[in-house]
Amino acid sequence: MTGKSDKVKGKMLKLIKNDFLASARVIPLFYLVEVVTLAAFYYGRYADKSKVLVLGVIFSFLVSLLLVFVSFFFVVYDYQKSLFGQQGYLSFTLPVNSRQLLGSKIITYGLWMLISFANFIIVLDLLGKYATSEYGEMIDSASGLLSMFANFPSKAQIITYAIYFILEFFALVLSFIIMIYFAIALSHIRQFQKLNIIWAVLIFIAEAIIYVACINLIEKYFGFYLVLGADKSFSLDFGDPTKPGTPLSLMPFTFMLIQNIVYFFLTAHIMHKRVNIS
Amino acid sequence: MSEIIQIKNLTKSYGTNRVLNNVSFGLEEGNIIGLLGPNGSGKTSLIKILTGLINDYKGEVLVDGNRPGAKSKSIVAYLPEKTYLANWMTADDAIKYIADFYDDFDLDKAMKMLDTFQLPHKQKAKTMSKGQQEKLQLILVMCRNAKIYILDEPMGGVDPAARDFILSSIIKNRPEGSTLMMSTHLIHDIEGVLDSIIMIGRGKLLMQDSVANIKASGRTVNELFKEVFAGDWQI
Repeated sequence: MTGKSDKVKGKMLKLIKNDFLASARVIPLFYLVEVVTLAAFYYGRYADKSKVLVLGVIFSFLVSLLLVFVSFFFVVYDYQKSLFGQQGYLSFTLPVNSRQLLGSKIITYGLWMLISFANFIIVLDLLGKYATSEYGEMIDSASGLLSMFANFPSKAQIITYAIYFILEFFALVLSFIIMIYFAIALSHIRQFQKLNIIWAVLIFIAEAIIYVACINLIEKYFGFYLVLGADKSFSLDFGDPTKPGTPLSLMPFTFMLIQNIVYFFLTAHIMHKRVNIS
Repeated sequence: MSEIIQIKNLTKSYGTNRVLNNVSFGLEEGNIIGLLGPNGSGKTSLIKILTGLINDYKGEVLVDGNRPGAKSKSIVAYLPEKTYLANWMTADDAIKYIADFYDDFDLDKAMKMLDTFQLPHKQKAKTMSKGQQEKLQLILVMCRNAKIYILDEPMGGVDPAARDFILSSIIKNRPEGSTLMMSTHLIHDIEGVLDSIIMIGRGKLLMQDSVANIKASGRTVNELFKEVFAGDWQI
């Protein structure tokens, strides 16, 4: 049993490694460009070269934003190309199952997406701090965001809230990627294959509508809260959060987790059973 | 000899179009089999089912006792009709990629074959000629010590001189005792190496026989093919 699970893990790691190698040929180049623009920013700032400084600020911001879009582009491009294009003849005949193929893509491109978001926040923070120190105005930066915790009564509450916030953000990014992958996989079944790009977009829009509607309904009718007490205590509350303390609504997060699991298995099933590589 | 591939009542449809209709046969281990039939006869669909690319079919398919899946894929070396290499891959990258996933891949042999085939190690696959890409894919397949080789039109689109070279490379590099199934229209080129043939037409199994039996009847495989697929089959 252990041998079999080690083999499965081994193949999965190989898939992730090769997906990273494939994406690492392009995405890091944009990070290199960002290093150059940030270097220009610092050079302009400390050598007092105002033109270089302005260009550094503008391009650092634009490149960090572009990186988010580039990562998103690769989420779609690599999945489409390596599984449903001619490269699918290679991917789908590897000695792995469709869940492993899908899981590898989600992990690889989920990480690139998260890195790009983190990078964007860091760059924004750097530029925000510079603008604040230079012009004396409070620009919203990551440090500024921390002021939202000012009213929290304890450090334990802040940590719990931060962990929850990060987990929810991870789940949201994963939801986004899995919903895209489901739409692309479904658009490649025989019935949708001819106009697959249009179908993929329509399916994704339908998924997004269902997602928003479900979240709204759930929040309205099924209250499920983690209530953070003034000290280190916390409790679960089903219903209106009337207890004293800070309520965190757990339902959207729980819904996202369940939805991600359902979409994952549905997508893997479609990839295995219904897709025909042409 | 045992049957390494067993197919019972295999039916595959695309909507109302039935491409394989109740096909049943078995293939003995260690043979070289020609999968023959005109265009649209169902050969590629059959190959896709055997290699695990198509999984929604009716009937029973067993590859070395397993349904097509991750386990069977680890013992099947498949050469598709199409180029499947990623744009970013060089010849070296492609070899390392395959070596990573298949324990039976012979890395040293592949590197030597690259030189024999005069293929550049560092050139990206997308900038290679079609002939170079086909040779590279052939190396990726024939450098595995697989139990089963399934080659879909391995000599399609190459000139007659290259065909002989490719065929001899396939035969020379095939491990002893392995099973090799080739689909092709170029029957004349391959009939000398075949042990048996399967003929498929309009999704039905029309004939399965050994080449020795066909020759004993005073015909070549090429003549038999023309005989079977003459007349109505061409309309």
